[in-house]
Amino acid sequence: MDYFDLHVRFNFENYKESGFSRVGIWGKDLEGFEDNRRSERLALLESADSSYIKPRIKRCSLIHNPNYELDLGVIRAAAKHEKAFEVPVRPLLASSGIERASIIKRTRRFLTICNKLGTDYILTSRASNIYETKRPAELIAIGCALGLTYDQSLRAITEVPKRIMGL
Amino acid sequence: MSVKPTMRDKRRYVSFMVEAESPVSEKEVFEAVLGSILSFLGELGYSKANPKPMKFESSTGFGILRCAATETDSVRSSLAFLSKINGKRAAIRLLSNSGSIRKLKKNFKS
Repeated sequence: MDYFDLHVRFNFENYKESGFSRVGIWGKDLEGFEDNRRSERLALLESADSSYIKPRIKRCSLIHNPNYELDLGVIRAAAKHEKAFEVPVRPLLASSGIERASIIKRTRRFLTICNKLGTDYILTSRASNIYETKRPAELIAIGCALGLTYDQSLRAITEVPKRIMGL
Repeated sequence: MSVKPTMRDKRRYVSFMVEAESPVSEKEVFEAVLGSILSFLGELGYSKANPKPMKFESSTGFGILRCAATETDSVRSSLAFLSKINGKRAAIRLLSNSGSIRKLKKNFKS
């Protein structure tokens, strides 16, 4: 089975030893979305403002709202255009206590709505060094902590990233 | 009088590997692991999970933790959230879980 981590922020050379078939390195395979972009790389549309996201959904590859805002219009549009939301694990690792509980709560609610509306999502590490990387088993375990079933977490690191990368 | 086997708490053993920027001792690892489980699951969740350190090899970083069978997924999630051991950057790599320690040790050696 092929596992993917579509967003890491360092030159992760030994990704195959960690169990991944491909990783998306920021700046090389993945870049930020810009209105006049021309490159073929994957584009991550990241904004806390849903009204900024909605008109640009067709032209991006991945979407991330750091606040996990429950804008049903955006989530439905993402499902319609077969785009996926990115759920990075790094903010969970970097926080603790009530802040972490708050992030988990918002993410769980968001993922419940995504499952209900048939919108895809991927789990990524957004690691900036080797110690922040998470192997497939760990990403699946974190997905389960976010309210997903084992199969849903597995799909978020196998089928969906594969489709996004066009493989 | 001991508890009947059918009424006994069912246990699972979770194996993991520690990757840290500098060598860590068994005491440091298990303090961090149990602390991570406590902070993630809370006091009630910790009591249900009933984690207990079993074994840790400093040379290889291989460790085994025992927990309640019904809470294995929660314990594994808690381990995945651990990012520091005694102030040093570290990561816990989840290996496998089993009903017996012998099988885990055998899998690790192979």
